[in-house]
Amino acid sequence: MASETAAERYEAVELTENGEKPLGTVEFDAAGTLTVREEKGAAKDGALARIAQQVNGKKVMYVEAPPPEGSPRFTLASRIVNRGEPDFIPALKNYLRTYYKIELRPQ
Amino acid sequence: MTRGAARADPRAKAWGAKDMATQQQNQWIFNALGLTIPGLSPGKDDADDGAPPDGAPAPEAAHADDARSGNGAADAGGSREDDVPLAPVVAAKAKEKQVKDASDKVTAMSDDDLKKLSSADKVKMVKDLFANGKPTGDARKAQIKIYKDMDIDPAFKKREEERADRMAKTLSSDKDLQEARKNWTTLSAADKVKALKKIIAAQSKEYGFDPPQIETETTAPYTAADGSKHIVNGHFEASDGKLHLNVHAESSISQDFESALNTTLHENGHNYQARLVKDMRAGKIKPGDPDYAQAAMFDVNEDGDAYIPPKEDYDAYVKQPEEDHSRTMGADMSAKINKALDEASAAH
Repeated sequence: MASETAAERYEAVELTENGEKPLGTVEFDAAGTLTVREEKGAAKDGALARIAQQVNGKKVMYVEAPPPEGSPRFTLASRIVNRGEPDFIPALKNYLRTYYKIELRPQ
Repeated sequence: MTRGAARADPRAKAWGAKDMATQQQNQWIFNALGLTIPGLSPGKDDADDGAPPDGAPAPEAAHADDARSGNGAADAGGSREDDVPLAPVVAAKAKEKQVKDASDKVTAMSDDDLKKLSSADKVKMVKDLFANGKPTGDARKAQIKIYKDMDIDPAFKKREEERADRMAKTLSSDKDLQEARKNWTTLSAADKVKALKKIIAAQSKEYGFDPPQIETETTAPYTAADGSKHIVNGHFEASDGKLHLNVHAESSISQDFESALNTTLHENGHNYQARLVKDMRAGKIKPGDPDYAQAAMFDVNEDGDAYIPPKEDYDAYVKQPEEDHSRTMGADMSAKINKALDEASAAH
């Protein structure tokens, strides 16, 4: 994951039920701060910038993990990943895919 | 003793026609199942005198105890201490065979072929694997393999997506929710629960039941075996019908609106599953009902032994029908609601 901790550019693509929509270009720095470099199409109203602002305010990511032994059935548990840890950017990319349907593709 | 001797004796009279008929049925079942009980197969009894004498019709089954012990006509007239009813033995053997056949069939199939089977076929195979109680060994592996290749019924999934669209549309105009989303980490636990109750009310309305209560808990993070910090988020408790959410300051419920949405929707999904199973078992969901195919998958996954715990096989745990549905629905609904709130908020 070392390559993801350096400032790298990604193409942001929204995955919709009717196909893909290019939203623009973004960059991560080593701390996982997202910077929007270009907004395209549907993101020209500032949607990508709003999302970047939203996720840049997050100090931790929660990555689903097996619940501790003895937990009641249906228990959900997470591993806490702090900003700056190696797994933070992969977790953030997964977060964007899950909650914003945005996939970041390396340019 | 030969069967010919048995007929000549004639023990059929002593045992009564009903007993003889039962023995014949048992023998027929053994033959049909391809089972061999020592001393009971036709070949053994007939070995000493070959074919039945006198051109008699098809031979009756010898009494199993006679066959095992060598007893013959001498005790034919009375009740015998070593009489063992055959029906339970036959039933147990039949169940064993049912499990083994299903297990062998699943084991021999490729994942691609298993995926292609209808959900009804897969449900039937899981039921066969449970014919003799909780499956073990290869049969348990077969159950896990089926779960991994079981998918949400497409029509059911589409209805869930439509519910998510309606909920997103309705909730997007809620100004309190818009504000709660923006300022999530600064809200009190009570205000967070108040916001989540609106989400649960909308979801429960779609599912057609009263929203469950939310029970807050404060459970601190813990250190996992690999040294990393973990925390529980919550669970649906079937025994009290409540959603139990962890509002500890470091929990995902406290720190992240999107995760809080997802956890709450996911857990209420388990509540919905329990209700579908209950309705199905009560005969309210029948074949032809739009929910039947998915409810049948939840049904075979519902009982304790049918649910794969995470430590047994994590991939199967995530993919079993109840967890697969809650994960898929929870993520989809939370993404749609989150996006709708974001867009509505930006529009003002």
